[in-house]
This record gives sequence, structure tokens and C-alpha cells, in this order.
Amino acid sequence: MGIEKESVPVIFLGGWYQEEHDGHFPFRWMQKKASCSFPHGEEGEEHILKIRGGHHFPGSTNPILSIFINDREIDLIEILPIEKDYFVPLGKLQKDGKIIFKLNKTFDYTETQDQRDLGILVRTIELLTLKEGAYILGEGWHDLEFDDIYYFRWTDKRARIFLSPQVINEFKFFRFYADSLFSGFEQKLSVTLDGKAWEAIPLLEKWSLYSLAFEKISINTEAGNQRNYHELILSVNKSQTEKHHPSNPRELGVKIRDLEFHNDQDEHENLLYFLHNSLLNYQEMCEGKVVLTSYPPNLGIDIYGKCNIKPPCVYCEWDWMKEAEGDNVNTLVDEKTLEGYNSFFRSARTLINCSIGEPLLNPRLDEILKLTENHHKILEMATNGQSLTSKTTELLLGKNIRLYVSLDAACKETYAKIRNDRWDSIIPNIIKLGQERKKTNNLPIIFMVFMPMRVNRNDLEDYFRLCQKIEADSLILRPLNFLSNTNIEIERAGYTYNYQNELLTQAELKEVFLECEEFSQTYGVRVGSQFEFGLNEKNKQQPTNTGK
Amino acid sequence: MKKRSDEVKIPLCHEPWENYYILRRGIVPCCYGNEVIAPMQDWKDAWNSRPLQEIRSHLARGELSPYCLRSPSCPIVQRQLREKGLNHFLGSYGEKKKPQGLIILNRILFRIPGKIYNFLKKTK
Repeated sequence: MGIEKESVPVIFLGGWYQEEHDGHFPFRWMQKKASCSFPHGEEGEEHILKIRGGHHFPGSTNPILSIFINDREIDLIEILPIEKDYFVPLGKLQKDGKIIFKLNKTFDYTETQDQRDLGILVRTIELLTLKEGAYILGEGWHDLEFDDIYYFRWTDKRARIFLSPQVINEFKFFRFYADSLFSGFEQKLSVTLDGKAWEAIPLLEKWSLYSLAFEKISINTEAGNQRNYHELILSVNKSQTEKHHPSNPRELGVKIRDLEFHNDQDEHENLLYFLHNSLLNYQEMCEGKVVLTSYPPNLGIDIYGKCNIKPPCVYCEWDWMKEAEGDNVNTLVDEKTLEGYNSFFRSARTLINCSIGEPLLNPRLDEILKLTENHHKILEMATNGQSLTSKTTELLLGKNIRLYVSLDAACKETYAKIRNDRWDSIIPNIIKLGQERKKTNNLPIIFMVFMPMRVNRNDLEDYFRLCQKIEADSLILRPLNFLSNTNIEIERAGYTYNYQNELLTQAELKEVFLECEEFSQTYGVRVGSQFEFGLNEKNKQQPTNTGK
Repeated sequence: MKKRSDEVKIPLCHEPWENYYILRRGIVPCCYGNEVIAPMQDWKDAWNSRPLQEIRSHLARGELSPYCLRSPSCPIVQRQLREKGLNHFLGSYGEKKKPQGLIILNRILFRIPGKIYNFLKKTK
């Protein structure tokens, strides 16, 4: 269920100056009194008037706009010196209704340097119809944005939603994803329905799913019936000021996406459990507790113990790892195993596959992906890309997966030195996945992994080009593990891969980071660096995430 | 112990609280962990086991645990060692590279004879 609204075109009657254009969008100035009509308004439905406008004179007193229908005053709004959306519920309109706007003041020449008596600036006026079972986003919601992965809207500190009465009658819960920029649950979201308060929800950093129960909010049905809509207000205790996003001067509340209503009791309870556990886990960590009653919000799993690259990748300690795994190499890990991790599974927002093996080869992959999808988990998996067949691609499409594709090379020659001669068959399949996911909400997320080593030191720029071609979400720089006692020295494709010699020095890595900065700008590819593991945002210096 | 601006105390590394790895080779408390702290099948009990308590206890005090020091691939460990001038733990990662002569000598004395020995052993 999404936003379902109908917008009716406005007809400007008297009291408006001629339409002007500022180079971006048209607008018109209102005189002290003006009117509009909406000849196609639907009878019997709740209507909401949406006015996008403001004024340009911040030093002056703000004008008050009164709105009348059939000589009845509907609302009074203070118009601010910024352009924003104002929403006015009008109730059930008659056909061919006329709306009168009156201002308590206009701006004179000393304020405007304009010979005309200017009222407020209006970009658009729309009449929205609140359909049965639908909702309309009111004040406090910014336009739809894209964060390179998800479409979302920023809220202001306070955001309003109009719900049709059927939503409350038919659904028990509403859920939404929210992403807070504040760490440590500092930001709290309060929800009120028809003026009745609901408890504040502490928000997690990064995208998380929340579910709230309508039944716990005492609904004033009488007020709801009179108005024929319900009013939901989301407000945050802290807003993201310019300090948090220097390139964006707006004062922003929280990022929200996928607001939906549902009746799934189990899902609601699971999401409450997840939130409660995450909060407890954070508290226990801050208190330095060593015996925990909470469970980790990230669970590492091991989907598959076998690999399709034989002999293994040159840097892989395959034999040693398989010896360490012993009989567990063949242990089946499937959807039942994961669900069997009980509280560990229930508490996890992210499942991180850390197999020494190729996860896409798991014969129960379909079932595993369905399980993680049904439980709204994020699944992180690294793949060598060689098992990206039509079948596995089909399974991955549309799923909330972060797929780390480990190539570490930008040409078949380097690839052959690290892995094998299958370069030409892999790349088309990754490009195909990149293309096909456009039809499925850009999921899975594709991260292209590059471990800087001596063998691929000259491949970096071409790897950026490859990421651009694939339309990858990010290039991920991953450190080659520092193994102090390894004796890995392998001859492959005419190259001697000596593990110790492949490790780059700090000075060489700094060069890599600088090049990444430059190539990221040139090719519009974002860079994520796992070299920054454990650093807080303030201390992350190289390479910065730039690009797209 | 590190402190954020609002005086909330946070450990040197969050991993042993926020992450837990149930892997075929065993239970690992962090993504750079070298050693396993329990077999895979003991996932239920290992979460609050002695080894994990010890790791948490050190990190909560703002110091690396012995387990961390045995996991030199971890970028946090590397940064800490560099800050304390303990680069020699990190080999070439810490800028101290073995002299080329020593590498060649090492190959002649150990690697090449080792390879010959392994080859002969296989052919027998």
C-alpha cells in the first residue's frame, strides 16, 4: 500500500498577478485577496488543499493567510519567508467549489522594491483527494530523494500524515524504515494520532524497520468521524543541523521510506523484540558489561563450505581453513539452521556470510533468501562471481542483499594471476545483474571488492571504469589480511604470488587512497574503505565517499 | 576507554558486543579474529564464554586483549600498534620490510630445499 491521492488542477480566478518564472519553476504573486476554483473535485471525499509557497522578505512580519469556503473560515496559516508546502484539510467539498484566500497584510515598496502590492508567492495549489484506505503526506516532508541505494524522504523536525479512516479500521500496525544520523539512540521519534501521544521510539543509526501498533494509541474516533480523516504526527527530538551535512543547509529530521500498514502480529512482535534488544545491547556495551543478556545485532554465518575455484584464489588459505573446519566442511547450513539460531537470528538486523566457500552454490539458496527476505534481514555475501548463472541471478534480484563481488582485477591477465582464466565469462554476468536489478528496486546492492596488492597495483583506474560499466553501488577497498606466518608462494599464469611481498606498505596504501579519491570523482563511483574499520565518522579520512 | 562528545563511554572496539560469527571452523568474536573461541556447535554458550568475557573486559577498559594482539589483520589493532610504536609486529604493514638479501637467503636455505623435499616425498 502506498500513497494514493488524486490531484485536481487549480483554476486561478481573480486576485493573482500574472505568472512569472524564476528560471526553474513558474510562480505568481497573490494580492491581498484572491480566489481559486476546482471544477473537478470529487463529491463526498475528504479533500486537502496543498499550497506550495512562501515570501521573500525575512525581515518583515509574516503574513497570515485565511482560507474560506462558502464564507466559512476553514483555516489560518502563518506564511514563512521560505518556500514550503502548506496543507489545509477542507472536508467534503461540493462540486464547483470556490475557495477564497485573504491575507492580513501585503508587502510594500520599501520591503519589496516592487511597485506592486505583493502578498505571498505561490508556486502551485493542488486539491488532493484522500482516497479510501490511503494516506497523504502533509507538512514536514521533503521531496523524494535517492541515497544511491534507496528512495526516501527527509522529514522536518515534525511531519504530518493524513490517514483515511479505513486505514485505522482495517490495519492494526504501521511500519516504516527510518535512518537516523545520530549514534547511540540519541534521536527519538514521537508519534501522535489525533493528538494522542504514543511513546517515543529510540532510533538506530542506519536503515532499520520499525512497527507501531494503532491499538496502543487511544483513537478519538469521534474527532476522526467529524473530520473524516485521522492525523498522524511524527516528530523527532533532535534534528540534523548543517553540522551533520555541510553541503545541505536544511534542518532535517530523519530519513523515512516505505511507510506501510499491516496486520502481521508476528512481524510486529519481531520488530519490537529487535528494537528492544538493540537498545539493550548498546546499553550493555556502554556499561562495559562482559556477560550480556542481549544478543548481537549482526550475526556472522557460514552458508557454504565448498568453492568452485580450484585451485583456490592465490591468497586463500584454503587447505589450512578446511583442516580447521574438519567435519563441518560438509555440515548443511540452510534456512532451518539459520532460524534455529533463535534469539541470535531474531536479534540480527544483518546476516554476514563469512564462508570460506562460495555461498551461491548452496543448494538451499532460494529458501535461505526467502527466509531473510520474510524477516526483513539484510544479507551480506561475498561471491567470486563465477556462479552468477541465470538461475542464481533470478534468485538474487529484488532481495535486500549486499553482494560483494570479489574480482581484485580489471583485466583477464591480472585475474588469471589471482584466480583463473574465466574472466571473459564472468563480466557479462555481472553486467547483466547490474542491468536486471533496475527492474527490481536496484536490489541486490552490488559492491565491487578490490584488495590492493602488488599484483593488481596497476589495475585500479580500470577497476573504477569496470565499476562504472557495471553501475556498481560502490567500489570497496578491502585490506589483504596480514598473515605473519604464511608461506604462500604460488606460481600462476607466469606470476609468482608471494603473500608477504604482495602486502603494500603504508606509503603505498596512501597512494592508493589518493588515487581512489581522484578516480572516484572522474568516474562517479563511490568508494567504501574497509581500511577504516573501527574509525568513527569524524576520523575517517581516506578515501572519502564521493562520486555519484 | 574512549569517550564521545556527550561523555557516553564506548569500548575501543564494538565487535564482541555487536557481532558474533558462527562459522564452520568455529565461533569467532570479530570479523578479523584469527582464532576460534569454541566449536561451531557451541554457538549458544560461547556468546558469554570466558574467552569472550576476557576480550570484552579488555576492550571496555580501552585496551586490546591478548586475543586482539594475536589478530594483526585487524585495522584497529594495526592502528593501535603503530600509535604505540610497536610496528615490528606488523612486518611490511608497519613499513619495516625485510632486506632483499635476507629474503633471497631465506629462499635458498629454506624454501627451495623445502620444495625439493616435498616433491621427492610426493614422488615416493
